[in-house]
Amino acid sequence: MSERTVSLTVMRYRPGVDAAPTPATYTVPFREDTRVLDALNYIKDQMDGTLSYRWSCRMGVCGSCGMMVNGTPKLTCSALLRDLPPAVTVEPLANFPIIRDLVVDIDDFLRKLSAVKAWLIPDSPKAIAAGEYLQTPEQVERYRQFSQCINCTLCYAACPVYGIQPQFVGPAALALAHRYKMDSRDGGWSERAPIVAGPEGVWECEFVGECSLVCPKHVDPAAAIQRTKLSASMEWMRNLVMPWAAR
Amino acid sequence: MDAQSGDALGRPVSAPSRPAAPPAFHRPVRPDWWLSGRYRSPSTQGTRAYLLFMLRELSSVVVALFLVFYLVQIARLSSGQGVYDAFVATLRSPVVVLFHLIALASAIYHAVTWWQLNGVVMVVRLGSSTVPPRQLVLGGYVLWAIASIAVCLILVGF
Repeated sequence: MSERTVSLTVMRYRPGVDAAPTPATYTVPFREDTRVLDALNYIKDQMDGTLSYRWSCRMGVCGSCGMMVNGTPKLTCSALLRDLPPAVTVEPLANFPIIRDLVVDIDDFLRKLSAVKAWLIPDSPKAIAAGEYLQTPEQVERYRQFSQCINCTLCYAACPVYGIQPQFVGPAALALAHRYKMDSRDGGWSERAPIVAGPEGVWECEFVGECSLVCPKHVDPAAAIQRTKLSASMEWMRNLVMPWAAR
Repeated sequence: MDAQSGDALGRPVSAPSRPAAPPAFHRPVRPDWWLSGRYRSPSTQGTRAYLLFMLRELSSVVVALFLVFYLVQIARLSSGQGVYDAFVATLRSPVVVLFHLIALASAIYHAVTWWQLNGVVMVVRLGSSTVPPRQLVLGGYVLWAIASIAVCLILVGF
């Protein structure tokens, strides 16, 4: 049986040399189980060692190999070539600055992750010697889905609001903020609210919904954001009607 | 952590000198981002996903215009029989009828997307289980149908 090949068009950008990214096309052999990432590795090993891209685990866990595959943000380690047309275009993740070839600068996302304090802020802190913060399975189930985020930033590449308004906190950071809001052990909402429910937080979202469709971990950031909008509105109403009950 | 100025043995550490990073390339957002089809949704909407989103947003302008029209109609009603009759006559113009058909379609589209949104936003717990979003959306449609029938009955009744 003759070997099948795919025509892989890759956007190349050499900083300080190229004025703008330019496409380069490679013909790469592939088998039934070859993914886009394998094809990129083939190019780097066999054709052009200067091709730059990020990857690590090769099993959809580390979240570092996200790229635009035929216009869709995907983890390239999970994108099988057999499911794609014979001509495939690979571009760096949309909405982020390009550092080199397929490598993007996600510092902005990392700053936002810190800004929403995407870590547990205990409601009532206790000494380590006092033991774990216990939860029932039902309490875990309330936030489990939103805790599956691997920070791959595919959702940011799918979000047109983030493209137009880079100040927007964005899907993954807001989904993680919601994850801690739903966690029975956490009491950090008052610290997160100025960012999460502020002018550049959930209210920037226009519910395009693409973030949830591209998420490889089915986190559903769009649902997290709309639920945060609802609870923030309810809180605002409660404080308006019953100011004496404000926390 | 940043305040640590020494290594594990307390010896002073100087930051490695690095050449300045070359400029990253910022892709400009083109004005036709929602028409260009460069983004392809993994859903069945494909390259039309952003376009359909923009149509949903734009249809709200039509609904808003209808409400303005309706407020004008109420204002005319308070201005006396003659003024109101003249206004009703303009309502029969094909352009106005077409506008109202578009406004009706837009309002129905918004009602559908509103109930779908409801399925995403609302988390209704019954005991230890959660009501499936599909059932919430269906419940919304049933409420909508009942309200519509009630409004129709009132209109026919008068």
